[in-house]
Amino acid sequence: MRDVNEIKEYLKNKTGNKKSNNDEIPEIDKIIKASESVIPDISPFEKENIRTNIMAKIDSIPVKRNRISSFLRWSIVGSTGLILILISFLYFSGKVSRENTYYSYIIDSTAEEYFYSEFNDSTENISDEDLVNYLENNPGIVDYYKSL
Amino acid sequence: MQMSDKEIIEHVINGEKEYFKELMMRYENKVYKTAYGITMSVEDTKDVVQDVFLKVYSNLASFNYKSTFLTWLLRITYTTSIDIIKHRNKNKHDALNLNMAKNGEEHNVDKKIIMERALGKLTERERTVFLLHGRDGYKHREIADILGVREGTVKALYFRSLDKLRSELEGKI
Repeated sequence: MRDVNEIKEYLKNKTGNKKSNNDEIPEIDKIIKASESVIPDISPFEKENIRTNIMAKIDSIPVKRNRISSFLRWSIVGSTGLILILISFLYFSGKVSRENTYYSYIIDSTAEEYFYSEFNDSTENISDEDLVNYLENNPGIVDYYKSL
Repeated sequence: MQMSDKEIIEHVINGEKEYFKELMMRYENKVYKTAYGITMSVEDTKDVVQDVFLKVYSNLASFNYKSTFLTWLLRITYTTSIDIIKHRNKNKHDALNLNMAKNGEEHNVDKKIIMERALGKLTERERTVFLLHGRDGYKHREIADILGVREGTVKALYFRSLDKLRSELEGKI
């Protein structure tokens, strides 16, 4: 009801609507007044019954305790963050390690290929022992290829 | 001295269920009026009131005081009423309208029946906005929070509902 004047003003300003005549404006007060009667016909006795029903149902619902404390909440957030950081660290350090292994493999393979081309021979005719001997006799060969 | 809503809520959350009755008695009339304004049915209103207070009890611990307790309560009332309307048995709905039509025979009807019939022509949102603002005096801002819409939408709904009611009720009240 507090905005009756606002509504009257709105309707006064509204053009092209025959209902904006000042003569009809008091109708708004009547409409709002009539709306006050729009309440359910429920007796106090029925309301008490409904209240009792609700309380009975509530008794069967487990009590929810206090909300999680602020300290506990931040502890959970903090420890989750730490775990994520740790997992990230382990993942990336593992990745570097895996990449190092891979590059070592490439370098070793290159040395081996060089060895084969040096002897102009096929894989089948070169024993592991020959390969080891060759590498021992040429200690700088691996470092040389690493530097390439 | 009367306890604040917050004090009562804290008691309930701490397991003192009897305080919930105090909370219900404090606000039940507002819930009844709001639910009835939306459903326009006494039986549905009773169902809504029960559902609303059970939902409130179940979720009381998650109430964060960002709005007033009343706004939160009426928001639950609005959504619960809309849900009940959606699931309302069609036959029951027809019976309700028929009953209203019979009661509404010319010259022998009171203002309440005329008003309810006119309100029945509005959408749920228009009806809710009209009754909350016109009848109950809630501000547009509060109604916007309850309905989860913008304040401008509430104003538009209010003026639209008023226009419709003026057409419906012309010369009848």
